[in-house]
Amino acid sequence: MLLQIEDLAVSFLSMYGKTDVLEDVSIDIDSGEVIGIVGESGSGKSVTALSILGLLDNNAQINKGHINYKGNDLLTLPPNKLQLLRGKEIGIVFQEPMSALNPTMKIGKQISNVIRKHRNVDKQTGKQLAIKALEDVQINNPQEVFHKYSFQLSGGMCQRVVIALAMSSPPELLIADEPTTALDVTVQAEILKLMKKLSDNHQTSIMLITHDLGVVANTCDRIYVMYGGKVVENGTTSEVLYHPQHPYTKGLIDSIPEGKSKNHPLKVLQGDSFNPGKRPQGCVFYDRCNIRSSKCLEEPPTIEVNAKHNVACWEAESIAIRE
Amino acid sequence: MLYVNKLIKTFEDLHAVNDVSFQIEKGESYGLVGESGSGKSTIGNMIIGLLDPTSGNIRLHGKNLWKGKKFIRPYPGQMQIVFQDPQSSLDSRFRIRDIVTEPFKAFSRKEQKQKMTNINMAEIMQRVGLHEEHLDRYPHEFSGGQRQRIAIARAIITNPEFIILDEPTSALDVSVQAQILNLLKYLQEELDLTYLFISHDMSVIRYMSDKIGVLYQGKLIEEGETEMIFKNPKQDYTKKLFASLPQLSSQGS
Repeated sequence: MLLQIEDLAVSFLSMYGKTDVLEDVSIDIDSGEVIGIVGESGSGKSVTALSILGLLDNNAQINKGHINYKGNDLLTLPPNKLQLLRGKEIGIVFQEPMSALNPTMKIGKQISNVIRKHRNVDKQTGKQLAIKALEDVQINNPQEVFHKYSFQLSGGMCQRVVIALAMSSPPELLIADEPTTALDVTVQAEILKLMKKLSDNHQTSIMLITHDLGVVANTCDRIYVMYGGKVVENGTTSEVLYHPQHPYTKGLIDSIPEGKSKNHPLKVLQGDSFNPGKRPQGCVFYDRCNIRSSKCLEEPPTIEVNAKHNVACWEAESIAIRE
Repeated sequence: MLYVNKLIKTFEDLHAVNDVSFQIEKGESYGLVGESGSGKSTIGNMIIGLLDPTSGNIRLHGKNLWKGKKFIRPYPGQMQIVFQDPQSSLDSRFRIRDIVTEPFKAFSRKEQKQKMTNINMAEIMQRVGLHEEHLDRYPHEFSGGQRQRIAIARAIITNPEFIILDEPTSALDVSVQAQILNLLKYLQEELDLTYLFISHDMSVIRYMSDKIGVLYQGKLIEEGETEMIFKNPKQDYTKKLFASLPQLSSQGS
């Protein structure tokens, strides 16, 4: 196991009090594995990613849990040790490539600085490695791009540069937080393919965070579905997408217009996106669930549907017992 | 009903919209698909009167909407638009009641007064899935999906016959998106509306439109019945666009 998040609970403190944003989140990633974390706004998927690298804001409070990485708990690791891991062993790619790059520094310099920092090489080798890194992300004219600024490149090109930066060491784990959401679909397809290829070449594990089920369907080995700061369902991609057990996962899949008949209204999840300020008691999905019962006022247990599939739902438990 | 003929818009030396022609029949849902920079929103803005075309013409029921740089407005409220981001399209200092009834300000004083007394606000709010008591609140008290419902209420209050929907669900979560799509379909049937649906999302466009036009770099490269185009795209770009679409493929139950 490369990374293991165990019962992580995080709250944000504000002038209005404490808001719980993550509750008992457990996620693990093996070496070379590509996992997807799927959820809508407020599900806690980005907070999970940020807590791995210790990038949460000052008002965040970690209530409990562990993040084990190669025998160390990242939550208790001193900042200087954590800094050694950032970028070198664990890379991260954010949604907005334009804002992830420094607009006043040439692309080449940004990449070679990172490479020189992590690999301890001289300036000349740094430059060569940077050009190689740009080549690896399939930029056609790396020499030219090397001397450009980020604002001279398109969004897709910038995201390639950011991936080149993140992969330059190359890291053991790449966290990609909505890496293609700001991009056009044709570019998105290329970027996803590229990430998958890099993962194969370097045995890099990828944690892909997205709201788009289509994206995970094509890239990930396993999926974690998050809602309201909890993992409500997890398992292999085919299990979760084609045999969903949790009413939220089912509803989410039904909500996608893809492949649905025009003549019928879409089946919808009632209610609004999750509001952390109004967390229901018991099951997080209680307000919007169409099969809720009185049992659901208590926290549901996590039930093993089969060896590759877990779900946190009372109803799933009764189905399991009946079968 | 709506004719767009050889429409061209250039910004300095950029051809944002390049010789685009299409027509929309009454009661139809016409989808414009394209990636960023393809000119789809520019076309919408020219139809609604926010941007003047460089050349070409747009006709509604046979009447030209543009005379040179001057927009000849049809009957107030005949055409309406719903934008992508309900966060910025609703004035945060207005109460919902003022936001929804704002289109009436386009009428003369007398008509305005008449409309205000005749309108049944409760019914309008109910149509879009909100309640009458929401009318005295402010936009920040609502979620993204509810805000988009408010923007839709504002669009239908003038009994329009034609609505431009410019990426109306792109800022919303998938589960909320489905609610809004259902609402738009329901309203179209109920109020006999004609839609121009602008989106970059292929599955949404396919679900919503009877006909689609595919835009690429300002040009309308392919056009026709939605299912025909999805099943049998002719242009290479359209094929590439469809192939890039991440799909859930077959769905078990």
